[in-house]
Amino acid sequence: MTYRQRVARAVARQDRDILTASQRLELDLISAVTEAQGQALVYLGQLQRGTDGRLLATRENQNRILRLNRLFLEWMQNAGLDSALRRFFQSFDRDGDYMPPAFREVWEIVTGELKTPLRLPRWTRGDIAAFRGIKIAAGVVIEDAIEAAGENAMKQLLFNVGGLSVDELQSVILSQFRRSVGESRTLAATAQSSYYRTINARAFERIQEQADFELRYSFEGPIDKLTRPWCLKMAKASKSGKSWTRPQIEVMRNDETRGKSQPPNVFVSCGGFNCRHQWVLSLNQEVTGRARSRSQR
Amino acid sequence: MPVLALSGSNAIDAGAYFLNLEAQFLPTTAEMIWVGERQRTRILERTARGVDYLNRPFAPYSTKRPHYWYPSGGSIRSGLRRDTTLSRGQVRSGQNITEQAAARLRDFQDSLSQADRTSRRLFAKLRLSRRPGVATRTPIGIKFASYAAFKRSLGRGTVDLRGPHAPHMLQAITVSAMGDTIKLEITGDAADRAHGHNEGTSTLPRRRFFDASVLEQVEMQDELWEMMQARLDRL
Repeated sequence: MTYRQRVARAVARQDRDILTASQRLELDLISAVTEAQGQALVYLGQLQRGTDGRLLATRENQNRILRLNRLFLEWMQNAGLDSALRRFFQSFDRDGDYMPPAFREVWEIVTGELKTPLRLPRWTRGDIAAFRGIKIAAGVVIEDAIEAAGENAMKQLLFNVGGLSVDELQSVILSQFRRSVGESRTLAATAQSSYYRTINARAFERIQEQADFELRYSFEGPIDKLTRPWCLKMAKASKSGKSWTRPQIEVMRNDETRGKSQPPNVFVSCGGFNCRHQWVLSLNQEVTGRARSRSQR
Repeated sequence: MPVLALSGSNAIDAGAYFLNLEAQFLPTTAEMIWVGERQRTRILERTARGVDYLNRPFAPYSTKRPHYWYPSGGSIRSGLRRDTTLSRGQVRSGQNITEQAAARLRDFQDSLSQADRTSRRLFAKLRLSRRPGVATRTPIGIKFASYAAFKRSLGRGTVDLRGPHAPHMLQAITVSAMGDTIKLEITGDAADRAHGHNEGTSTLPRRRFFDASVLEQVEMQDELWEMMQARLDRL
């Protein structure tokens, strides 16, 4: 075997080891996600339904769905996610020996070819600190990816099991709660709109956790003869360039005559029942005072 | 960039610093969601202006066929067909109407009255009586000469793909990110409608709102880099 072939074989063996560890982690992750999905199905099975099996748009159901995000990650942890990750990282640890077998093997092959043999490197404290730093950074990236994968799996499940059709929901509320047609329509429409705003609110929270500046939001939606006065005021202000932070939005009251919000939490309910508007990230926003992007100059 | 102190009590290990830096040059999920949400805002703003992803005006609304608006929801129409047929059938055949069917008929009549009151109220609010030939009242809704006439009566001259009811299709855009992919999607009830508008059908012209032009993609790249730079500055 030539020198190059021997080096290639050593490197290929290392790649196989890494692949094996990755595949093992993948199987562990699939198992953790599957188990969490099973738990989620049981949990979602406890949602209140009508006699025809369709989901009801109740506050209890909404609260259960909002808790699902956090619970899904907990179920993944309980299904062995942490130990799977630990096993994965440990497969690269050799009791403080930062010399992977392939590195030693290649060193031996190379040094065997030289007139003056190379000395095996001795890692300094700085080198070891650097390796630890890389390990931590890689770990953070992997954990971030797993959390995102878990969230996506949970969201998909939610859409499959809890996906609500407004007309179906309306007819269920109409028949089960003996509400009027108008009330049923309002409840169904508001539940759906709040559902989507909640998903987007979760995305905004994710961004805010990392950003060191306060996100700013615009009020987006139609301005026409059906728009209520509060929504009209907010939408026109947004069109003229005004934006708000989350703390500012959370103290707003969409029912100004009564001095309260109906339903509560303007960030999720916007103008209230039947509202067609939503909060979006404002495009007129500096990122920590950095120079504007090329397109904004 | 922070000043690197290589000696003294605040000294950091230069090697470790730079090796760590390499790992930091991957965008985080939060940064990708930021870019996705900004693109969502762009999609909504240009759709409100009546233009597609290439800034071309949308095809105008139809002026050909009448449009029926049911302010109390489309299910009232199917309910009308189903329940009155059943109840009339029972009465015609001389069967006794069960208590359940009678209750259902009463509820339905209440629903009809409410639908009638709602459409009457909206007819007055939109001042449609002053526009003969454009709109007429039906027992449970309002009939317009065309969909374009319907949108104009709401005070909207632009083709903005927003209906009179919540939730509308554009409220259903969600953003997620995984790996190196940013995903914007419309799911659930609104997905078929969105697909119809975006790709066109035999009855709907193509109005491609759900896409990103090359310019928008460049903006997205800029925004991602800006956020990453802000994070790297804090290292």
